[in-house]
Amino acid sequence: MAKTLSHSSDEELLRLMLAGDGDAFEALYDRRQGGVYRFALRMSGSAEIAEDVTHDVFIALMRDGRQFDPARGSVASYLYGIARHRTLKRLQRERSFVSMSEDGEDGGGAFDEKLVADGDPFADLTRSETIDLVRQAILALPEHYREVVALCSLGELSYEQAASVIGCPVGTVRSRLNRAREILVRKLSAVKGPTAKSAPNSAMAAR
Amino acid sequence: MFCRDFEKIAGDLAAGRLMEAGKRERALRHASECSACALWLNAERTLEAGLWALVEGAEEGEAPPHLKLALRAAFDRQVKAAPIPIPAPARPRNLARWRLAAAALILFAVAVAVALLQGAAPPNSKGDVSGGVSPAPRERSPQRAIEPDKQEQKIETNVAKKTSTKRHMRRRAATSDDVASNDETVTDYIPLTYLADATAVESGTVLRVELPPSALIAVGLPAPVERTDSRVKADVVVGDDGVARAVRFVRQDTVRR
Repeated sequence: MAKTLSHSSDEELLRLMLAGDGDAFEALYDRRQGGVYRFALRMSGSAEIAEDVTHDVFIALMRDGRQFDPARGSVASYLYGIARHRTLKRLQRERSFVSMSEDGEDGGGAFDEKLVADGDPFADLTRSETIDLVRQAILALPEHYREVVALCSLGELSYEQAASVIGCPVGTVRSRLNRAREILVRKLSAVKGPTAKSAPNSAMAAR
Repeated sequence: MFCRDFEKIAGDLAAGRLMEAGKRERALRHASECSACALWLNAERTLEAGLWALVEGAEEGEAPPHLKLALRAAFDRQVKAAPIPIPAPARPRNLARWRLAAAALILFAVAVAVALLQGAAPPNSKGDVSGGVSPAPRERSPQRAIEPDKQEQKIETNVAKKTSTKRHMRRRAATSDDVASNDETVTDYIPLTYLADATAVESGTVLRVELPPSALIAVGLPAPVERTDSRVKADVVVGDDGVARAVRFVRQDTVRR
């Protein structure tokens, strides 16, 4: 039975779960909890919030799983959508967990000294330090940029799936992702401040 | 190569994606000459390495195992409490209506029969010992006279000394302290694990707080399935020394007035 369930699609597992099959619920949980947990963790930076969000997502699936509409997206998108809603709700309540940028929407202004990478990162930083730097930089992104990074760059979702989770056009996901990456690189670079982006471009005229 | 052109391909360069060899060479030469673009490339490489490491997920892991157990228990409770209707194919709708009508008819017939029997029976007299229908008078007053003492003893028992770990939910009538429009369902007070008899509270304060649902799981309680909000209310007994002694969880029921 377990082998059969492991080969079943998410939709099939959901159908069985809604018919009262506990093993199907466990199989679906095993398959999707990691992604949901990590998405909430990357969005919030808090293991406690990530745990609560994961819990809420699967409780909501038990209670409202019949509202899932395959025409609107996959089960994974449905779960990420709930996770996104719950995470943003928690973040609104507990802002203290996230150090948001203070310089406007783009967050391209002031950056933490810890985010400065001097020299060759592979020579100067250990792997864990690099991860920590990137994680901090992602947490410092505004939420609408952070979520596309968490869903697309770090998650398993395609641009189309992320668009259905967020409820926006695919083009918006692409542009937000590009902009988010640009902000991240700016944060991770040592000398490029708010005006640094234009500095190389203005210098190009001399070249 | 200009800086603007370099920035466009810096991401591909950092990720090691395929590109034209000449273009790659020009970009690297530009980075060696332009310090700003060199830093930009370093930042791109840092980002790429960090993202890859995070994608692997080894550092962030998964939800803790106890969450799965709690959710499975919640699922089983939900299925048990409200069996999920499995749609039976090709069942005619009229059949259910006929069954309902038949049940109503039977109930009506039983009610009429009972009414007729009661009307035909002679009125009970006090001296009629043979009237088996008449309930025997209950002499419980002596027992009841003892009960208040027991209750007082129970009330006087220090909350913090409770060692019972029964977690049955009990309904409490709304008192004057409660919000008038709400009923609450509360658990028993659960002593906190570090509590010792020596530190039992003599006097203290009960604080109403909101906790994340993980607090329920932490003390071994099942997480509520029907919860709509992501916080749970709790009463915490805090001694005069500021140390929390016990906690109980509160659920506010919807008003049915």
